[in-house]
Amino acid sequence: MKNQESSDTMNTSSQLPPPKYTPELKMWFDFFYYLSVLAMVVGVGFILVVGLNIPGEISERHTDIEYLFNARVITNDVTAAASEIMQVDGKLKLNNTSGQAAFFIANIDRILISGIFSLLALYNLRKLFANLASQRIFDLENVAYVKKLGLIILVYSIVSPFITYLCGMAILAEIGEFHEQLQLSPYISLPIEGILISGALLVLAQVLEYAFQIKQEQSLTI
Amino acid sequence: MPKTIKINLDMVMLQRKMSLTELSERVGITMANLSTLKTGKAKAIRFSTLLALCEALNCEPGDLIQLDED
Repeated sequence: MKNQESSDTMNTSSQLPPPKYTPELKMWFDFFYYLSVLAMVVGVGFILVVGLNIPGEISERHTDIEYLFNARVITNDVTAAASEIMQVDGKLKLNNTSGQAAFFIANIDRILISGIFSLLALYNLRKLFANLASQRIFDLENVAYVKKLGLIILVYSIVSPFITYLCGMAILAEIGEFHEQLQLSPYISLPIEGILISGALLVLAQVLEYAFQIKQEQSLTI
Repeated sequence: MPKTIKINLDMVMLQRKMSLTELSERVGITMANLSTLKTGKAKAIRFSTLLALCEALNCEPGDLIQLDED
């Protein structure tokens, strides 16, 4: 009877083999998290320093704007013969524009909004890996982290196309016609993979919650 | 009020004049788990645990388990 199976032996840490790659992955996620925080601080500094030094006079402005657009080359006699690329959807760098607010809009969306979502996701991911590294697997904390991660990805996947479209419209409204042969329009694309991943994570969170309940019942079986 | 199953470990231990430490040593269950049983926090009890307790306390399973109608 001495080797009676007690609930002490039912916790996951004593049953599972020690994690192989989790501590290293946790270290890498910590590194990426702090690197992202640093990149965001540097990015905000860049926006402020460069943005506030854009001249007030429109004729003196030569702002470079990098953002997502749909672009179409309007052909004339020369380009019809020379140009093979007639339509581009994605990131474009517009040099020497007269935009000031456009500079802030493009960079705030690129650095701040995307950065905040990335930091939130990385924060939850590193907490999750920290728990896994210490073999706290079927834990309510982990359920919350996986759920939050899913929600962050879902919200970003749904909100980012609208933000990109609205920011694109605002940028184009300020800079006007960039080039007579280049027709620009706001970029829109629904990241379906983000929605699918977030759905999978939300289901996983539910499964983990059930697993936690089963584990709790198991540990209270004497 | 819903009916519950109560473990009468306290009473049987008192009748047998056996301490928790002694029972723990005889049965091979930790004090923490015996305490969980005593306080009614346990969700289930294994047949093997019940058998060990019955052997150590020299009683029947019915002496340990009781339907609580409160």
